[in-house]
Amino acid sequence: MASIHKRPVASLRNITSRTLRREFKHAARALASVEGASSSKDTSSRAPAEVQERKSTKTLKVHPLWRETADQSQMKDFSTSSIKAASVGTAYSFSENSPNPLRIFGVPRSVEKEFNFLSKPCSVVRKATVDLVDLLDKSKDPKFSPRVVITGAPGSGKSFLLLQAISYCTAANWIVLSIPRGIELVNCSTPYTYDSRTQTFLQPTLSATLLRQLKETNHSALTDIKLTYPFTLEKAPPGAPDVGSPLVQLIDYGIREISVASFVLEAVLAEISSQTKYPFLLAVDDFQALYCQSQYRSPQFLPIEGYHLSVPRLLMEYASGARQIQNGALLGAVSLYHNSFRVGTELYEALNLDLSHGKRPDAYSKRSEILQHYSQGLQAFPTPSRLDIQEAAGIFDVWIKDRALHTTPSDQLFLSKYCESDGNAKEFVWRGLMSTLDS
Amino acid sequence: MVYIMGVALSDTYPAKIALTGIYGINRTLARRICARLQIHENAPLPSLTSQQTTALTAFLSAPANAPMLPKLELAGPSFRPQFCTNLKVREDARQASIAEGKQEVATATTPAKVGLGDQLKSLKVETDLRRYVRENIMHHRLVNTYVGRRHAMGLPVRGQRTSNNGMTAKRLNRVERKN
Repeated sequence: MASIHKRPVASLRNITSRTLRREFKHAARALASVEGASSSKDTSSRAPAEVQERKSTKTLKVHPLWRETADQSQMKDFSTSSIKAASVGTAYSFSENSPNPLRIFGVPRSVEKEFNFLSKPCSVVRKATVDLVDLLDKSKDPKFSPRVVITGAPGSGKSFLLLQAISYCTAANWIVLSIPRGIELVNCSTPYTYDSRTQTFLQPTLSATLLRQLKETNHSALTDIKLTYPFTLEKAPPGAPDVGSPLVQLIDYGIREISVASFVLEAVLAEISSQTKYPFLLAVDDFQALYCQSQYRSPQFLPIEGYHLSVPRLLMEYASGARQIQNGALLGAVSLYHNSFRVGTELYEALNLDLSHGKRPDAYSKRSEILQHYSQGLQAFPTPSRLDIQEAAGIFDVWIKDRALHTTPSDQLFLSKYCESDGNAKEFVWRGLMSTLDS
Repeated sequence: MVYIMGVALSDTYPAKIALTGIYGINRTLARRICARLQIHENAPLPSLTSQQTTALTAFLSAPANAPMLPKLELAGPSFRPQFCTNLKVREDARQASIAEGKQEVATATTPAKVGLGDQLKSLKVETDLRRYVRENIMHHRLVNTYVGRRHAMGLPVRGQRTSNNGMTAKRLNRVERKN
């Protein structure tokens, strides 16, 4: 006993959790053997009585920690027909079929954490999803190329809405370029170099990464689209494809010659946005970060604005309409969780945001004309701050089938967590379902 | 392990922190050096190219001899580079701004303002810095000041108490100071 007093309390807790984990592994193996059919050496578990009970009745009579494994076999993948008014509240999984845009481009950090909890990356169709998809369907008309920014209170589901739009567009054979973490364009994590031709700071590695991801999508358009703009950059390395060559050759050239990757990215996006055969979706999460001062510094140690970096500038030119997507849309989503990159005054006013996006700018705050120029013509798509009961029930159903709840599911639990979170999606999932031991 | 001027810098930190392993560089200076050489400061140190490492070594060996910083011109929204594909610059907005006398949108370029002076010109690191500190102490001793006598006795210099504590001074204070 004397030795236990010397140890800190935290290590005792560790011992208990190690024991629990060992027990859980044994029980999981026992349950797996019941699900299989043939007996194996794993059936000699620590709880033979419980295994016998399961074999005979197959009901939930075991401790909540050692329940059956998740059963999401009935969940279908996102497709073009799954997003309609009748399917509001139904959960669909993000398809694992390659090319999988979520794997190629990545997902925002908060979404990645949520995907790690569940057995399958999935999300529930909301009314906002249906409205957004209708808007995207209208964008096939060249006169109407929407430049939409998804807004809403923190935790209302903006990133998930963007992912659903990406999934829908991929299923509908759009060309998709997604930037899930817009902050990585401006947080000084990739090399940069000043170029006197464009009078901006190029980001060659970042451009090459985006080109590589675009190539990985393996879209038929990349071989179908032929180059119309000549690649006439002075002092460019040899090997640039001529007019009439397939687009994929230009992408390969940009990946190979990293020094000109920024110019190649501009040319590739120009080619894709000029053609009308294949719709193009340019999706950017953390959209507000483009309009902030970046963490990069000039050689004089002056902070570099977002519009003086090649990749954010390119995105802002598409956002302001200086470069147009003939068939397709630009879709952004603001993120309110990064204090270094908050929604700026100009974007706040252009999108006519409310107090859930931060303090309203007063008459004395300076407005930058340049940022006002880059934020003109943007259309806000507000996400409802509350989930509907139907939508929340869909999420609850996913958690039940996943056996992810710590306690017994019931209507009382569902309604109490829904009320406590005021319908906020993130609060409902993270604090309501994940963190509760209530029953 | 990246070696700069004979100092092994840790691989586990980003460039702006790892550079503080060099004697004479603190975090602020490290950021300034990264900006000066256009090294992205959050870069993991092993990811630096050999050219960047060479540039760092060359700069730190002789900071005073580094070339003058060029005045960088940065493009405004109405700037149209020569290599350009589908960019449409709004000429009407540009002309209207010129008429109103607003220079920011009107001019094609916005020249960057140079700082008050290159703070890195007088930078000293490693052996140069140690020699400079030792020479300062030696000067105090030669002219027989209080500071010099305290260094010689190995006692605190700046008026601290000696009846208790003062162990750092007793360990480190010398006329020929090593650290």
